[in-house]
Amino acid sequence: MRIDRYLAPAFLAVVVLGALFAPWLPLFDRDAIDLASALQPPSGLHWFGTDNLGRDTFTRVIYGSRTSLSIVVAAVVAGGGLGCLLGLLAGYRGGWFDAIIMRAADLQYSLPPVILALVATVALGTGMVNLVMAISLATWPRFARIVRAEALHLRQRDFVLLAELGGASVARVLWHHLLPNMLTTVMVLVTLDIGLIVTLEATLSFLGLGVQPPDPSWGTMIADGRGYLSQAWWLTAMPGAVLVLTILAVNATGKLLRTRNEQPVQRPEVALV
Amino acid sequence: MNNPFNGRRWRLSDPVLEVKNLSVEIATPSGLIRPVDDVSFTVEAGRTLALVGESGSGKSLSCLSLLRVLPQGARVVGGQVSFEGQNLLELPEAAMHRLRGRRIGTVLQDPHTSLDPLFSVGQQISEIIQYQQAPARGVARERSVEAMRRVHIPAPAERYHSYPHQFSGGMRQRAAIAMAVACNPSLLIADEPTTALDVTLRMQVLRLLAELQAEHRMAMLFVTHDLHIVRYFCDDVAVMYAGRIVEQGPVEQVFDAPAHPYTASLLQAIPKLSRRRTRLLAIDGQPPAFSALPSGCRFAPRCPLAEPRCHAQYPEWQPRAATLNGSASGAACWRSEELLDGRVNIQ
Repeated sequence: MRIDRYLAPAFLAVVVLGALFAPWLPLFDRDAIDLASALQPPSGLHWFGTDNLGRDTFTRVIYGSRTSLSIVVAAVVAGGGLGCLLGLLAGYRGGWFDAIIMRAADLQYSLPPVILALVATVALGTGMVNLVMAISLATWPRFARIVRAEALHLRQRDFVLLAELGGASVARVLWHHLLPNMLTTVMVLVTLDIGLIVTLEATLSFLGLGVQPPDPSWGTMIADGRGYLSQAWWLTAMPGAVLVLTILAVNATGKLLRTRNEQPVQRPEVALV
Repeated sequence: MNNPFNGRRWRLSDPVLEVKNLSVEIATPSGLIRPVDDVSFTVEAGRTLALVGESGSGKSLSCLSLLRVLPQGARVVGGQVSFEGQNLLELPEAAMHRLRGRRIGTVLQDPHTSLDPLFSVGQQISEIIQYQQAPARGVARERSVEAMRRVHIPAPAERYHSYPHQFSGGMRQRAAIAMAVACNPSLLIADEPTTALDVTLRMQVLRLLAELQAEHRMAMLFVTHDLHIVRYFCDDVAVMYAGRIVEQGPVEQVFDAPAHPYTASLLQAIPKLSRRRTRLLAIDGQPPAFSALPSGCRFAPRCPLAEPRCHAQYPEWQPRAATLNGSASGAACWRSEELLDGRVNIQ
């Protein structure tokens, strides 16, 4: 067991636990204004320094992770769920349904996700729910496409035909036979997706279309700190660093999961050589 | 339910499955092809009909169209399928759904893909019982252990929790058969159930199928291209060539005196241990492509007995003398009488 392989999951665990238990952690009040200690550099008391209103940046980063991560979870469930459902139906049913869904996915694919989410938030308005909807709208095609390809492949397998012949309903075949058999692929997609969603959320919040003040999120914090870049670098650098590290950790964890899942398949190949 | 063919109620003594003039078309980029053309056969309770033919002769497609699970682009364009007096081709989808698995069981060729790798074998058999009879979970479990016992899986209660990868090929095929017969269907469609198995396992699986058939007087439609199996295991045989049935009848009759040159050639092409040092006969050429079928008899280009009229016109069905059980018997060949009389010979 090598320790460095578990660094990424460990960091991720710390971020997630911090987000979950923020209200019970010995932190400062996230909204308490203390102008006397404004714009202080990182110190033993204020680990990540303070902002222009004297609020503790570390506290706000932790609370920001709460906002950012809940958006990630909601968007993965909504966008991934929608993509999986449409992909499964398209791959399994085929025909005109498949054609429509996949052309819609192609259409979305031709636009960068950031632009798409941007347009969607402008149309829907700001707010957490709308933000999640906008992000899901930008991320479902990736799920739909890959899940459809897997469904097309699995549909050829005899056990799927036999389940149909045994009297299983369409929902049963999709849920019970197709989805579990593509779970590994979906998990990999989810880890890839999380990075994109975190970036999307930060981008939209940075542009003022996502999370609204005074709720902290990593994107809004980076945006707020921008005005003080020359006096207080920590206001943008700290949440930025946490954001980058989180995305890296998610990707590394995804890769770890992937290689772990592949091990039993690889072993006989090695034995042959 | 009235029989669509004769308007009277279906009786237990009637054939379980009657297929009349079934045709299936597939849309391909180069146009419509008809890989199943005017196929008729009947299967009676307790009897086994073998559907024999080369790969791509329409055997499996015929079976799939009975079950109405045709691949995309394929559709039934004509004919009738009467199963226990119900016309399967006109049955609403919901009724068809209830029929599959409960009244019609299916066993497929490859035991490696016919089980879902993620669920235990027992769970998968229970699942079928759940769909069909919806008993309590514990009862379904008991019944699936019972089904595993019926197919002679040793220690079924313990094997219930085994996963497909822990089963050997033969055991997997037994499990697949257990799934097919779990609800005591009156018709079992077996699509090359022994092709993917070791020769040593084939006999065991065939014996098992015969045993299960005898228990419930199950009718069986047995797709294969192994003529030995047909000889020793089946009651009737229908020989398919390029989408059409070219000869049909009781196994002994067809094998002893084939009335179609194609059947005769096939039988000559079987190596026999008793006939040492004779040349093994092969049929020259290839079966025709469905997109370019000959206008007359489809076998004519390869047939040693072909005459001008064989190339010009598809032969009419030449019935043979009615057999003991009165099953359809005959061949689609202009020269079948001459062949039977011994006036012509394919060598």
